[in-house]
Amino acid sequence: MVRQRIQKQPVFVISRRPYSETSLVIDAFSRHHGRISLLAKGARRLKSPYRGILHPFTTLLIDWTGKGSLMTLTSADCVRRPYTYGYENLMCAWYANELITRFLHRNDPHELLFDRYSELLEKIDNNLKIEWSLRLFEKHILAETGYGLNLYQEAASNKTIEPHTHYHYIPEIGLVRQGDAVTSGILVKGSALIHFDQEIYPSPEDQAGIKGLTRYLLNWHMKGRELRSRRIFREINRHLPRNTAPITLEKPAETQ
Amino acid sequence: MELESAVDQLRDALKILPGVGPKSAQRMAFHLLERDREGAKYIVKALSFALNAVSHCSRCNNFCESDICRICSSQKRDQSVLCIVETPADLESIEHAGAFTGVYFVLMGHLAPLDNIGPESLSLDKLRKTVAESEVKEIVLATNLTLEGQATADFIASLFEQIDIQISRLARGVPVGGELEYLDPGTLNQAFDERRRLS
Ligand SMILES: [Zn+2]
Repeated sequence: MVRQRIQKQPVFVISRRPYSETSLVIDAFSRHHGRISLLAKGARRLKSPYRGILHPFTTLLIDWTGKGSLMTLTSADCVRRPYTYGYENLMCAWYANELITRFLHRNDPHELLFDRYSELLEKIDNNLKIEWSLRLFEKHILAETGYGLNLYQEAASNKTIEPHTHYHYIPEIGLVRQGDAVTSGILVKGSALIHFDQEIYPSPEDQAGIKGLTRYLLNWHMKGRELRSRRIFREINRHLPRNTAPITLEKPAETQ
Repeated sequence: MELESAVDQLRDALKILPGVGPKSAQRMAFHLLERDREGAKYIVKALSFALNAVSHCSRCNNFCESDICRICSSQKRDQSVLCIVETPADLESIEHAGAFTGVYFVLMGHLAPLDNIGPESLSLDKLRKTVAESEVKEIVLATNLTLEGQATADFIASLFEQIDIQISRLARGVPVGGELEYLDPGTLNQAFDERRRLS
């Protein structure tokens, strides 16, 4: 086997788990190599150079050797650390990580999505349009993994979407005008589709429609398996004091 | 092939231990069966005794062999200050340092959605009950300074926002005996952010 030495790769840690007495196995998202697994030897030792570095949402430059399902980390430098954010923002970032683990295959590069993810984390860091950024990230992850949405024309006639008409979005088919004897899929208003397609910040009403659409499609592609972060969101809301606003995958009072 | 399956079963069981992979599990299994059957019996006995005897303290949630643990029932402890930690090991460290004389609550973990750990796994209902039933005036959040630990602390703080309890966090910064040259940038930045006035 050829021993590969890969150097100075930008990555994010998506998740990690303890391995043997002192090591960690890292699930990372690399810009040029996609989702990869790395063994970080001795990372849990008190004096490990990796200590305090291999955290989620941190931009890293790393080297590794080996190839296949588990490579060995040989160096890691922290480029950018997230600000310490509160649990609500962190839940949003975790949600994005879970989407990555559910939708991305291993060793499949997705450079554009990597950049989108990086932008999303920055929005979360700065508390800017978190909800909207999550919706766009959901759209991009679907598109990058082969489930791209056709949001600008009707599936059968290729007619352009009209803002005041409602449409059914049917997975694997696309958009069908309401009233065309269709009951399946999810109903979305044209204006929401247009904003989502052109990535223009929508009205709250359209934003809700877009959220319904992506949630429907993600569930459809996950074949009913629930995202863990969604379940934890519900648990968190059950525990919050009664007159606290519930948290969602987006912050209610976000700034533009 | 009765014997083979018993060995396999033991090997699988030993793999449950943290940090034990297939190789070490096999080594342990062979060692116990070949060289130390007395030791194996002792493990069986201690394990089943512990499983029966050890439960969680009904106040602080730490491991405990009675309803209420030694610390919670001590007259010498200040019942008005409650320190929240992630693990029994964290509690032990604080006890060992001797810096804290209040009582504890042990979460047995931190928020980790991708590992399916939410408020329910962290016994937060019990925490609320403990706070409601005692005369706690201050809560010290002593979770780890990792993202997960801080998110957990932030969430717990929001649970008690509407109650008249003082909430504090452990200070962050330069460790005792720490040489600045060797500090990581995160620690150094936080030490500057949270610097203390001397006069
Ligand atoms: Zn106790």
